[in-house]
Amino acid sequence: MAVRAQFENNNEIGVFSKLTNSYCLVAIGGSENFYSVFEGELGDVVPVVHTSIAGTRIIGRLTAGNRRGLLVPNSTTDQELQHLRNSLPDSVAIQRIEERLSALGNVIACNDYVALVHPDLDRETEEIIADVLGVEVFRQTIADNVLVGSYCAISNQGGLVHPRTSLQDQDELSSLLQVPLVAGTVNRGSDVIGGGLVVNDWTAFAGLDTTSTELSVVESIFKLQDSQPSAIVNDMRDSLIDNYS
Amino acid sequence: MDKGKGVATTATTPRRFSIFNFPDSVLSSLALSPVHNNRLLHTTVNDTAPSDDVVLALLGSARIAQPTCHTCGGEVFDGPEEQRKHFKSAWHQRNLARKIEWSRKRSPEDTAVSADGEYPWNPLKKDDDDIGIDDGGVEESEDGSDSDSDDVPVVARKKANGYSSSGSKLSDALLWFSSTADDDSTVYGVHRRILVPKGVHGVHIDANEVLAELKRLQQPVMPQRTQAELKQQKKLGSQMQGPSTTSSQKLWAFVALNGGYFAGAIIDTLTGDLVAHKTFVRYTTRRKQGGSQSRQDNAMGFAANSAGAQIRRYNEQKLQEEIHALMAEWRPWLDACDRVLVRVPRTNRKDFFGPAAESPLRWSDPRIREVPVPMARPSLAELKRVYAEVTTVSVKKVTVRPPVAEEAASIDSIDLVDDVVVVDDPGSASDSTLEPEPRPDLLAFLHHVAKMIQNPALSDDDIVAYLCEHLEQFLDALSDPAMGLRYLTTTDTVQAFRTPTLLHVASQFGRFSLIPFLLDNGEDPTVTSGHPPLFTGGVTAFEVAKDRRTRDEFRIYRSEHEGEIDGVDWNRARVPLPLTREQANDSEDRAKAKKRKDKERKKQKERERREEAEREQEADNVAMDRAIAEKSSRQLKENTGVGKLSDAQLRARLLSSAYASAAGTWGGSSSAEAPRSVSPNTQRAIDRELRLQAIARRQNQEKPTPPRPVVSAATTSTARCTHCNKPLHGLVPFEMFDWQCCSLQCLHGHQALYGASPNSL
Repeated sequence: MAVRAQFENNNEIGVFSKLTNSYCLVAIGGSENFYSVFEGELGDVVPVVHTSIAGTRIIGRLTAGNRRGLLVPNSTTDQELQHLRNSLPDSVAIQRIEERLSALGNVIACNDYVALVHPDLDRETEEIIADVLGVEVFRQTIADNVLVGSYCAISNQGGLVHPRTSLQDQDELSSLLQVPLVAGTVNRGSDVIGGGLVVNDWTAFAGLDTTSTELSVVESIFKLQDSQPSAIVNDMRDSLIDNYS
Repeated sequence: MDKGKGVATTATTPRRFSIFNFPDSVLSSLALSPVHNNRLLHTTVNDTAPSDDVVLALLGSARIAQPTCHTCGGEVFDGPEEQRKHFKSAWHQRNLARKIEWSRKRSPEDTAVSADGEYPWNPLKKDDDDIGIDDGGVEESEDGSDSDSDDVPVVARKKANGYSSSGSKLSDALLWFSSTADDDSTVYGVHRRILVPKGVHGVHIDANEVLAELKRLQQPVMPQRTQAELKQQKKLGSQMQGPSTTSSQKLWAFVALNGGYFAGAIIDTLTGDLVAHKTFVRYTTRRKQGGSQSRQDNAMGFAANSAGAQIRRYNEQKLQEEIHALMAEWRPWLDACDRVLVRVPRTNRKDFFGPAAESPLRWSDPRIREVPVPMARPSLAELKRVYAEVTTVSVKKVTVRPPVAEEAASIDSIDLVDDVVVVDDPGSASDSTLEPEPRPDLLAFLHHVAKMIQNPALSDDDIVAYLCEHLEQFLDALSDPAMGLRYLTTTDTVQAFRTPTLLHVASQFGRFSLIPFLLDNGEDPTVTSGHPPLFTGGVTAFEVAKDRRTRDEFRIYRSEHEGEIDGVDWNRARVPLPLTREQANDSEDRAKAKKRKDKERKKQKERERREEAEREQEADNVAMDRAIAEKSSRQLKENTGVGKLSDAQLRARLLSSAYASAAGTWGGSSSAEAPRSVSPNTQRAIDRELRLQAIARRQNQEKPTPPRPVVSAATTSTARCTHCNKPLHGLVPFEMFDWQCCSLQCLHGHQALYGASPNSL
């Protein structure tokens, strides 16, 4: 299921949360509403950890991770690291990275098998990503943007990329990732996909502004529904009729 | 790519070459170019970017989901595995860098692809890959290699690296040479720090010495070596265990330490090979705050005690030990080195140049130079890049515009250049201008006035009278343009660091009637005692005021003079809201009245307090009397040795017994009469006694029934089923009215017996 949520009147929930198949991080200091959306949806399947990174709440943009690990920037305090270690399952490796591009969430986009990274990332960092997250690392751009983490959201099922990604780039990327990709938007036309959407293999959270059309695209490309085709038709029909009547 | 656009000399001299291999033709007529070092010329660097006038064609919109790479010019692969392999190759990386560079330069209205299907970032073909790319992300210079510079890695700094190396700064670090061998438009830049020892700046650089140094650096061109020879040498290198140097080697050492990262390398400049290298990392910098732990400890004055701090402190120490050990190990090499380029923060220099006796390097050693180029975190790749950058001559084509420069460019021999001053230090000429000095007699007058103000024997009126007498001189002194804003600072007779003007002095000594006079005569209340004079950090005259009366004087003056055309900025003088004279008087009256009232209130309070105390004393006495009466009536016959007790003991005992008796009937009417004022100790003793009694009582009650595990509130009682009289222990009873039944059957049975209504009972 794809769910809409809002962090303190802000639709960029990808900034304030990080979702993977084995854990979910949410920023501290949000409203109970925001937490209950995550906790209600994820329940006791994966832990929902309330944390800050380097004292800030923009944890989604500062961290990168998948089922196997979590990468946090150099500025993360020892205390926060300890808290994360205590809260996350033992199977999740946590690694602090010394990297000039410290907003790891903006420069790394990954699922459990592949990571797309900013072309200027340190070679050392690239190796750490490969080791900790257990992924193949590719330096990439998305629609000529180097901030791959900001402009796409990928899971093991599919991926949503910047709306101006050319078709050939989409094909190239989808064959690289081995998942279907689609170009689209979230939050009523925002191209910052990573900022407006967090997704794992069975659920997705998008900003409250996301239209139902956008949400149904998200649900279909990330395969979040049980009966996919009919659901698309049903969902789409309402919004399409709404749009074109 | 356009190679050497119409310049004939490019055929003879390569665009970039090593400082060890200046072409002979250039070297023979090389001279320090005064013009170029003066930064007087308009230069056009012929570092041409890939031309972006070609735009790609829009490819067909057919959607083929097959593994491709458009960055490298539409490569098609057999399978995703091959595609992945390609995406990790250096070839792809290089094309990606080109593409990003192109997209950064591109104007937004350009379309991505043009009609003829070419890629505008000019992707390199696969064959170009043979050049090989170093691991550190360095990029081979574009136009290939000349035979005499082949053995030196020639690199260009990648623009996308993110360090902004601004042109002017970088060109400052270079010494520019011109040669008569080719046309005047070519200059050669060599890093200044390589040729000139540290501590020698700008004008002190001797052109002859610089050239001699450059010639000393020249090396014979190494013959091209075959693969077999290279292999052989590698084998030899791996066999070589300890540090040993051969005479054929010319070694340079590079060491860098920053933020717990250390990298050191010794490079044979003859071949460009690494002789030895070592890197290590320790966690020493403080997360989020930055800086090293030791610096923080020094700044705080005491050592932080957190676990992190201890780890970092330990790591710093280990890092230093490791570096010293490495330096000792490398001593033979370091001793043989021609140059040692270091990049070490000032605070960490002791790590390298530690104890003078055993350290192989000293900071005063002329071989030691600072790395003259910006550098990222120390790593071997970074050292290699720095080596390549430092040892590469940058060649510029320039167009000489100013006539002076043209004339200078025609100078062709070294000794003529001798008298040319290399201007490197622009601040050297400003010393000759003289600051105007204030007239000493006026200054002396002002100091005299300051002293008068400080003299308690003189009244305000005396000083005003004196000033009026010498008003002309006073006005002269204040309006003298040479007089500084803080004219009293130049003396040691008054404490001028706090009171730099007469206004400050008057204010500090509470000479309030002097203040309007001084302000009238042009004293500026906005002057502060900080640096510079109007700096917000200092204090204004208002702020040093001695008392309220003086402060009020400022505010009154403000109210009377606010809004004048050339009035002062009262906010900057930090004088609060204006105050009229009436208000001031009013507030004075008010203050007096308030003081009076306060006094009265205080008296009243005192009186009340006394009465209260008397009342309490009385109550205590009543309680005592009661207790004594009771005791004496009850215990008279027992005749305990009360008479032997002292007065105080007796009182305490009686009080406690009075309370014990009162507690016995707690809740009765006697509690209301219980005296309140007992010492807290007695109260506590009484409470303790009561608690103990209660516990004893409870234990006596509970003894017959053994303690049982508590299951729930309902089962703790010793209740039994109302119907069958079965104990309800461990069960949740079915309740109706006041019945408690073990089962539903029991409840129904009971209902049948007694009916549904409790009234039928």
